Amino acid sequence: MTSPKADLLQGTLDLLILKSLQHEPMHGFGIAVRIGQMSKDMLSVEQGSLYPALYRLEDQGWIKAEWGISENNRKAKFYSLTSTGRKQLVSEEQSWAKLSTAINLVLGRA
Amino acid sequence: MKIFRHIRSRFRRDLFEAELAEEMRLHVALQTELNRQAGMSADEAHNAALRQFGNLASIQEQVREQRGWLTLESLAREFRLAGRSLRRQPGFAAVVVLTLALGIGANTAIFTLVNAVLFRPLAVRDEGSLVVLQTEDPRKGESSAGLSYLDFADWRAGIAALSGAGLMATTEVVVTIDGQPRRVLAALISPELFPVTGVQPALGRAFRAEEELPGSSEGVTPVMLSHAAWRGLFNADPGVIGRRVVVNEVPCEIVGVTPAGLFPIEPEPVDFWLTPAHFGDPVRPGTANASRSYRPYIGALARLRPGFSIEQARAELLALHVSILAAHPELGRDLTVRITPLRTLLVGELRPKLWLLAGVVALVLLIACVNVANLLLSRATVRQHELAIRSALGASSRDLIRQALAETLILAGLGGGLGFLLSWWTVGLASTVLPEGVPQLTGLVPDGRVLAFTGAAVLLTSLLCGLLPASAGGTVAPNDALKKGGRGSRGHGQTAIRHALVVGQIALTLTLLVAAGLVMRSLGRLHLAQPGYQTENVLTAQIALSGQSYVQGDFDPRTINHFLARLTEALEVLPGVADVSHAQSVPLTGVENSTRFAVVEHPAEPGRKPSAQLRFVAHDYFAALGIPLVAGRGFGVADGPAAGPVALVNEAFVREELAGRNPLGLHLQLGWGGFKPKEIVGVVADVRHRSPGDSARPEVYVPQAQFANAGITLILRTTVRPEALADAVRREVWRLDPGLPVTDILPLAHYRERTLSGQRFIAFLLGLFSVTALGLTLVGLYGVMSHHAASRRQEMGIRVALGARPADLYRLMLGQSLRLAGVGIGLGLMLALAVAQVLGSQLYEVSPADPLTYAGLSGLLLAVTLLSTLPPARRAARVDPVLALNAE
Repeated sequence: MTSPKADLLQGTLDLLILKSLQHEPMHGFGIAVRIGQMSKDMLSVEQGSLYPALYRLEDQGWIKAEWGISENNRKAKFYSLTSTGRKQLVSEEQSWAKLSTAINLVLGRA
Repeated sequence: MKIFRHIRSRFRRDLFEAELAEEMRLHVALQTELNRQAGMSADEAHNAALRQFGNLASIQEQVREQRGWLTLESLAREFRLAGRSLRRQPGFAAVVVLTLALGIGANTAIFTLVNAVLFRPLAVRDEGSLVVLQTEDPRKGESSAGLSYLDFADWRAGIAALSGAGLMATTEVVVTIDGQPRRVLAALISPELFPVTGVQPALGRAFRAEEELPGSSEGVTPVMLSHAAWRGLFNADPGVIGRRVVVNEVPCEIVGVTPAGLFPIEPEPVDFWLTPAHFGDPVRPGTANASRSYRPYIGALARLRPGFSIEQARAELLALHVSILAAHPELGRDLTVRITPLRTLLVGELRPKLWLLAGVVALVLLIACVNVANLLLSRATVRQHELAIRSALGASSRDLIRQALAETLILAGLGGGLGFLLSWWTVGLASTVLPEGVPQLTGLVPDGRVLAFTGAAVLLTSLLCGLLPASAGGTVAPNDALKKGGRGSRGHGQTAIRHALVVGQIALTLTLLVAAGLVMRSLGRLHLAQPGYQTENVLTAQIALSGQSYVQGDFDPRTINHFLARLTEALEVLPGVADVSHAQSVPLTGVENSTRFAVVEHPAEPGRKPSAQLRFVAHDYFAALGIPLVAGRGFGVADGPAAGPVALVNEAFVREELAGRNPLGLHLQLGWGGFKPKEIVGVVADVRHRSPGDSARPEVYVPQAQFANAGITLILRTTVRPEALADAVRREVWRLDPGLPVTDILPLAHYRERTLSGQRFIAFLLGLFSVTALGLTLVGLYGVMSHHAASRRQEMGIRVALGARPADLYRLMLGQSLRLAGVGIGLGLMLALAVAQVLGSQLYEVSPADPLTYAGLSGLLLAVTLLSTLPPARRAARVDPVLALNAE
């Protein structure tokens, strides 16, 4: 993964994690891969920020964790969205849309 | 939810760690797999994966941090660390704990006392709406000018804002129980009083409304007992209801007993309860209740009607009073009325003193806090090296603040606990040292609210003291601290704060010292005050000469005189007795009367009703007590019932009532004590009647022999210890008349001590606090200066290396602390002057700006400051430059 990377703010990382879990539960590594895939490799998540973020989201009750078996038969902790988490995802997506529109307007004017 | 998670992760910490590790391992494994698929070899893939993952430990740490900073385990760790670091410096910890303990202990003790007096409710219902109506004569500044029954009746009927009112009076009566006469204290109350206040009798019944005046149907006058009298005089006999006793020759029946704890005073000041019937029928002329001028009642206790305020009641009372005065001009224009809430009246005089004490204690706590803050701050400065290293090793500023706060909490916790124990001890001590008659100060223990107050004080203190050094410690940039070699990283701001704290501490201590000093000097003056009569080696005794055998209907004094003459003869020959005399009211014993008077030759202006103190004395009274005669002649044996009526006046009377005119030969018409005008035959010196600090008031003396008084105080001047003669006195009295009540056989010195005890208590407490404050200052300054010197060791080393002599270093250190002391003392003087003005009313013959006190105490404080600086200065002066410069 050598293409230029964008820096990720903590809030946006949360949003991305929630988004990546929208359709199916995933373990930590899988989430990192999925984010890379969804952004067509423009974003890559630092492992150093991924796990703290996952624990933080779990503490806040937006995702929950369960131990299961990964694709290569190893024990893995799978994260999935809670119902609160789904609502949070929707609201964060809306906030993000508003924010980016606003920023675009500013930049467009400049 | 989060709490459970925390608890779970604390209890199953290893499980959580294992889970996290497992998760990380999987991630690395998957990444490795991915790398291998991208073409790396197994080893390369694994290494690449690990590198990409980053610092495992740091991530784990971050995740742990994510849990929030207040997990139980991290708290426990902080406290353990804090405890260890404190144990390494036991002296410092001890000083801080002791300082806090003193400050908090004193606070708790005083809070308990203030609480006991001001906040404990009386044993009455709804105390807040009870008020007291009184008259007063503002010219004389007496607390009450007395109330007549007729006035009370008008008030009760005419004030809509009150829903019920009861009269109160106190008097002494002679009660004969089973043939045994004794003098007891009685309170007269209207039957309404107990229902109005909500007091229910413990036994029997209360008075009925119709029993207020004589002539109730049963023919036997009802009386009630107080709880203490029931226990003491009747041994708590439950069959006491219905028993007959004789009160002042009137047969009475006991109908009820009041409950215990009615009075917030020990011992209870009432033995018997009587009704106003005791003072006669208001429609029968000649009885007390029939005259508006005779005002035996203290006042009326009333309840405000719901929805009415005390201001409304006051307005109605004033209006009513004006119309009463208009209808009865003989009362004189000077009389006014006032209405006061009950609690205010009861606590009254004591309250300003207690608030003063509370202020003092707050001051001490403040000084203690300032002390501790300074000590902690200084210590933090010295520890900056250590803090810098911790910071460099990864401790966030939050960690450092957390640890500083943990240390402070431990210290505050220990200090608070010790302080609470100290307060127990102090309260116990105070209960034994205290003046009698002060409400509820016996048998005190600190109560729950005190605990809460202490807890709050501790928390506040720790926040105050912890925040300052914690923010100072937390804002250290590790690089700076490490570079400067650890010691002496002195931000300008920090030093200024510490200096300000020292200055503040000195100022506050000086204020406290001055307050204590002034009060003590005042007390000393009081002790030395010459009251105008002899108080040492004088024995007094109260005898009650009432009863048919002594008092015939028209106040013929001959029988009493005869008895007193025989008694005096018998007592004079006793060994150890130098002189025997008697009077109706002797100074300090609390007995006094006053009377209206008129100077026949100089009538007073219309509307003015002058009154003076009235004293009935034996002819040798002045000689016995050592009161000098100033002009004319004293009383002699010849001034008996057959002679012309005479009187003596004192110097104050001449000054105030006669405007300095020569009184000899003038005639006085008195309100009682004989209605024929009395010739003034002499002038005696002023005495201080109520207490050694009392002002001299105009007094008129009348020979006891010319007027029959039932209550007599015997005076014996002795050559031995007065107490030794008590039994002899009783024996002689009973030899002449067995069973005659003779009570309160006490030396005059006892009464004198009693009047001083209130002042003494305050002086004691203030002295204690000042010494504490001084000690705190001494220790605090020593600590601060020590740290200061320690932080400047390098600088000292350089100075010595550059040629400074020890004397120079001394001068440097001492000069600095002198400057601080100077500013502190200057501020303190101003503060002390302000506080002293407030104290002014409590001081006896000492000016609030007394220069001797101020100068002396400032000097003391300066000396203390220098003393506390000497050891550190000496250490600084002896510094070995080589060691100092090399020290890291």
